[in-house]
Amino acid sequence: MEKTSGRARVLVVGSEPEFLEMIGTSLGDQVELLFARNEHEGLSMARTERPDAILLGYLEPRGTSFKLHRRLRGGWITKHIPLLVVDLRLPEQPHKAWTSQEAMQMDAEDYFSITPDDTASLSRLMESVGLMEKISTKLSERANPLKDAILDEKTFCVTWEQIPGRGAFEMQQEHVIDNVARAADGGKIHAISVTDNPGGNPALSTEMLCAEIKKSGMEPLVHLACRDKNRSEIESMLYGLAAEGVRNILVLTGDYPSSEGFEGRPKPVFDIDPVNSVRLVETMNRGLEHQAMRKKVVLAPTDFYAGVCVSPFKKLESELMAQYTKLKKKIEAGAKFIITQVGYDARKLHELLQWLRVNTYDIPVIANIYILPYGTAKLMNTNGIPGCVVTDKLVAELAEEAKAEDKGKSARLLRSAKIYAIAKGMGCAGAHIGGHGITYEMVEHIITKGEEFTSDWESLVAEFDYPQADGFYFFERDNKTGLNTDIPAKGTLKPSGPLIYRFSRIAHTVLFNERSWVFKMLRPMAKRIDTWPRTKRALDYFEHLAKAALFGCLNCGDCALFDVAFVCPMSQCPKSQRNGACGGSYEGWCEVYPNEKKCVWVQAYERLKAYNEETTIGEYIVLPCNWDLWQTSSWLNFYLGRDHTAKRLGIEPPQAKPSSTERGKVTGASAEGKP
Amino acid sequence: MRLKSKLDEGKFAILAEMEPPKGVDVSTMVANATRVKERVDAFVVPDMNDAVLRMSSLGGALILKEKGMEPVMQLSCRDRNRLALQADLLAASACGINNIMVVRGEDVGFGDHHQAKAVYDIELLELLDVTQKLQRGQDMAGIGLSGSPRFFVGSVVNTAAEGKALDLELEEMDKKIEEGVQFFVSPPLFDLASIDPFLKRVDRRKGRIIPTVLLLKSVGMARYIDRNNDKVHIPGALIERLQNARDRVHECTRIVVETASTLREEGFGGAHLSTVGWEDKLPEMLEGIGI
Repeated sequence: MEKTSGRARVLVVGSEPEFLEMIGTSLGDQVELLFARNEHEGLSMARTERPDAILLGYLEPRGTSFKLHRRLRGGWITKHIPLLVVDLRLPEQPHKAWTSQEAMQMDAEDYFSITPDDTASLSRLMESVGLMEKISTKLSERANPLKDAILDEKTFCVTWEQIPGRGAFEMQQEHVIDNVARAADGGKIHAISVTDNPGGNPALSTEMLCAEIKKSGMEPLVHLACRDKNRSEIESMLYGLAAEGVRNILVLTGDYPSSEGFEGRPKPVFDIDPVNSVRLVETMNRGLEHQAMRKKVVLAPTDFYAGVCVSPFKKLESELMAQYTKLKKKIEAGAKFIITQVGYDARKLHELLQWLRVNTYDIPVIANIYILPYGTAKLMNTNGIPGCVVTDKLVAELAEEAKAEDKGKSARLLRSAKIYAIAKGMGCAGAHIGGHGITYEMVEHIITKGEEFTSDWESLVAEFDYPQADGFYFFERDNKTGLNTDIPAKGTLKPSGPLIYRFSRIAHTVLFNERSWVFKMLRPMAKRIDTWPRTKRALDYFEHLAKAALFGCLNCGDCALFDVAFVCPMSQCPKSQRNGACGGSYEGWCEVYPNEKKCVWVQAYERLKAYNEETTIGEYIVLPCNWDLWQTSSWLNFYLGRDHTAKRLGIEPPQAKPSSTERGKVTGASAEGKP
Repeated sequence: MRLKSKLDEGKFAILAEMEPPKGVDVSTMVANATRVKERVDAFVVPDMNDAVLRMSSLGGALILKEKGMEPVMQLSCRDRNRLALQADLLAASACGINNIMVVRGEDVGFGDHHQAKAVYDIELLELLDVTQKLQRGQDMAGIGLSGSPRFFVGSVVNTAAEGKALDLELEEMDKKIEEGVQFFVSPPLFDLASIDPFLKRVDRRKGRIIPTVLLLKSVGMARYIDRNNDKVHIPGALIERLQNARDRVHECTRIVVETASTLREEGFGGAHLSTVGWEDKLPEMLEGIGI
């Protein structure tokens, strides 16, 4: 596997040709060298190339080296780059390059002086000030221990989840920092993950804490929930993390906001979903392009390593398929690893691995090990913590264990160690360990015991047989192992095709088929209407009225009805999920309205199944709602090539100029490329 | 005269270097000094250190004096002839600045005005002699003064000298004492063993010795001084300590605290804290030394 570090790049700045030559001959074969001959070149190369170290020699006139050193040290991009000041003493240049006054203000990692006769001993000199060591430290900083551990087939990666807690100076945060320090000393954990406003409650921000963890030398994994941040906020937070050297993120939808917010339940954001967030991260990793002052700007690429979540522990066929289709999109968007939701059924965990194998997705899976006490188990059993599955059988076992003198502590650690062994044996890339009040010693105990059990993992599978009543498995059971074969199971779900769905399909086929004669006939009319403000408003009003009655339309203008079998994800899904179900559904019910409203993706699956089209549910990635189109007619937006469906189908916006009144309002959406 | 009484009583004195600004904004200097005025016995105001242009030491000392702090005005023969030197000494005393410290001054070639003409009309020992004369009510030409100044005089000694140079240094030290010098500030000291030859031969009762405790701010700076300044030796272990420090700034200040504490235990006259730009860290250092 390719390691994340590589060959070091060193920038050499100096105006003396002798100096550049000396460095070139003595270091050229050890590191990649970049040369700059004056202050301006040095500064701009340091900023654009971001080398692993800078060797700063003498620059004409005297005092320039000092000035450049100041700018490098004070610069946002360059401040973290190790800086070594080198004095080449030439006979014809009696003055030292730096005055002692300047030297008193020198903020460099090191300094050394050489004479032209030193050539032979130059590398020794550099060794003496530890240049190579410094560069290798810098390289190890560039390395990503979590990524390396996940990708290395010989390493079973372990992450430990921390919960930041509400407040700025509370004991919970003290515990997190203590745990990080213990984990750093212990050396068995590859990353510390910090949840993002867990349970939808406000907490100390994960990015702040993770930046702190990074400074302490431990690798952090930032949870990025799409609940409280819109796409801009996510982007800006990612830039902050990139600047702090925090690169590992776990993208998730997030629990619905809790009602414990200031003065009531906060406004749920859910502007973009994890699929599109991963796309954003990957775009940033390639170097995000945008327009600034009418010019195309390409940003410096970031180095994020983004993972996603999935829950194979779903009861209904429709629920499970909604999970897998969304996972498929996440992988196609560029997700690099998967962490599972909390669940204790070994066959389900195996099902996920099998599903990835059958679909030839080569992506590492990290199994969630939640150290489960009896109290939490009871809560999870009654859907108290969204998405976490604990069956009656498991609760009964825990109730027995809780009667022990240690209140079941050793039993739950043992259970965790067994899951560790099963996960490792099955072929997971790692384990994600979590739980309340867990100490480092407990985690280490799980790792040690888990390693001991691993060789015997198959015999442990029977202990983790926790099917949900009438629960659906994607594959047929393998009776030999108690796990899964690679034969897909027959669906058990009853299809449902309500009248409104049948009607919508017909209407859609007639009106919104870009290749039909209807479309070709109506498009010129749409163009006209677009230039008549009053007619346009009337159309928007009519459309909204009709769709509000039929679908609960919110008039977003970027209609996704077609993408979710005519169940509106904007109005009917509290989390506005346009690409697949979140992890919170419970027996087909919505996380926010259990026993009241069915998950929109469950409904969609049932409807498609009525037409034997259920496999089409995750065919393409739906773009996030474009708020340029808010409260405009989505029908017009489709016909005029503005909404996400039109873009997907390749419907071009008409060439004519928009009317003068419109030009200001719907930029970006209407006038393609025209300023 | 807090400095004088401290030294006379044989107590450990704390000097802090306060460079005047390059410009007229004295707010930073005043703020930094005010923060530690209770703990520092006197603030040493350099006379254009390293020949880099700054506000004059007389000006800087006066401003601190006005704010109720006790300054030590440095004076070198590099930039003034005998007239100007005497004039400034009279002005200083009249304004209540009684601590002076006579220094040699770096060559103008080291500074930021290479073309400047170095004066050296009189040399250091002569200047000390003049100081004595003025106190007796006479100027250098032997003409009487109306009201004579009072000074508490310090100077410098190179504690790093060895062999023949050490003989000369000790000889000069004696002469300085004869000329009324009562305390000596030494170059930055990091390792007592490095000045062992000096310590073995000097009679510490004759003049109080106050070594400079320089704040090292980066490995680069430390290595530069070690390599380019003959009077300073920085042990390799110390540089390594800085290199491996997790919290560099904290390590830098800890080294100062440790060095100053050693000086106190070893019975030196005091410590001259030179913080070269990090004057805002003085409070935590003094806290650490236990002042």
